Amino acid sequence: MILLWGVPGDDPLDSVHAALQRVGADVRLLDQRGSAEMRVELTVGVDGTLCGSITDSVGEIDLSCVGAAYVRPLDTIQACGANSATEPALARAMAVDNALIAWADLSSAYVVNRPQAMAANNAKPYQLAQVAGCGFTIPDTLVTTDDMAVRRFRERHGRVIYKSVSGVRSIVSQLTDDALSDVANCPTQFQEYVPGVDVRVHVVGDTLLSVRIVCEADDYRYASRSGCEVTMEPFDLPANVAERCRAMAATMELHLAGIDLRHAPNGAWYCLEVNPSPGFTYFEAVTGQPISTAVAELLVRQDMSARDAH
Amino acid sequence: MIAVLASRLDPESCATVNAWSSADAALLSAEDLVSPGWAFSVGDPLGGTAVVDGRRISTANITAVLTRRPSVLPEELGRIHPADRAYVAAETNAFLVAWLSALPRTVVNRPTTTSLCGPAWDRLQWQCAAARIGLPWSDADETSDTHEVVVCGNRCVCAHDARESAMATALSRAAGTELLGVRFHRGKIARVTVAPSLTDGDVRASLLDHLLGRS
Repeated sequence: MILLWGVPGDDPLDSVHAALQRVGADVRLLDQRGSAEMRVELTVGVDGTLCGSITDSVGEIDLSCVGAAYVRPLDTIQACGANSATEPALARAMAVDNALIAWADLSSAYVVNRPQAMAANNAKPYQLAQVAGCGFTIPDTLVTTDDMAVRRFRERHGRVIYKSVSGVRSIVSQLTDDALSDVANCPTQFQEYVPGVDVRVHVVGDTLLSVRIVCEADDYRYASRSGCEVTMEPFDLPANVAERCRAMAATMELHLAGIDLRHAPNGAWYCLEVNPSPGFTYFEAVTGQPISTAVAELLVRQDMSARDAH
Repeated sequence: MIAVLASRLDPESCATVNAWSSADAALLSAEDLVSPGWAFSVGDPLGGTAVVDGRRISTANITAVLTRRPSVLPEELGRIHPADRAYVAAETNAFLVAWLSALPRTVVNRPTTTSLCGPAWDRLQWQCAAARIGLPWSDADETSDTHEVVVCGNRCVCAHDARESAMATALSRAAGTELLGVRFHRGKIARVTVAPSLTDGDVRASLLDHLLGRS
């Protein structure tokens, strides 16, 4: 069985669900909005594997029958729409969500992606060090609470951008003097501005789907706010860069990843970030690349090999 | 300097810093983390600066870090505007994960991406880790009579016998920790913590030896 866990209405989850249904896969959707009413029973086998079941309003799922899973849980408060952090239903939902996260981390099923592997993206300088270890060039990066250190960094690099250190979504912006006043109160991440062409690579198992993005904005995701246009077109990566992307995703234990590359005028391939839970439907809609189908096919293949092994 | 990353409201950590004053231990508090003076370059962790106990120092002067907290909480950031505290705490924790992971010094415990002081595992996850290396688990509840064995690097303190010592050490290695408290009940593991009590003099001495590279 293929288990999907998340909130219906989430585009990537919905599109993978639809792709699985189109091929008649044995798929079961676990709606996170109902976590407070679910029952999870997990036990540890003698060899350290997790066994057990989840029961929701649809029925019971024997977790030993799950061969592959695609997990995109939201924050529990957001998912169950709690009005107060003290609601008893929220406490029940958190307990269930935590149990499911533990299962996703420890299960013998093929999980896209394990929460533990995804968490590296919540500390971006940490992930950048991982990226550098995988052979990609990374922008010179400074995290600081010292405005003088920022000024020296800007003198060295000329153009500098700043963005969040954590997984909190932020708009990548170019540094101005106004922005320096708050640096002393919060560790802030600054990077040398790397000119070049953005390339987004979706790694799905061994499959790569790449797209070239042309945009004048500092952050193409928010291009419309700065009055810029975005154009995208499918792109063939050089073989050595493609192989590096595959190897990096494997090293990070990510079966699905959205890798943000920038091809600099000097020919260097910079990696800016690796998104472990990419919102790929945005790229799919613009380019027509069959990313959700690739994810569905990966899940079906892995579920079948789990059945064969069973 | 040994930097002890802990809350000013944690009496055990403050007492440990005092007990280690001759080893140049100092408290690295939440207040320090949102003070001017930090600089960390990815790829050159020792080339930067840190703020410890209100003093700006070269990161290269830090010889070891003991982390006694899984995260920095928004409520601790009293200097920060209440509306910004959750964001600043998230940024601070993310920074610490990167900094503590990169620091080429003894860091006990190294952070994981979800906790500053080692694996943030619940009972089930520790039980899995123990089972995977063949260690017995006790179903004893919180009220049962247990005793804590503490692994400090290569040493094991407070074990009743060699078997307990071997089990605690094996679990610590499997979890990738250098400091681990393992509670035993009748020869089986009952509970595990990455933040064991430091009130015992032998534990404190063993941990200091480990941080100073003497073990």
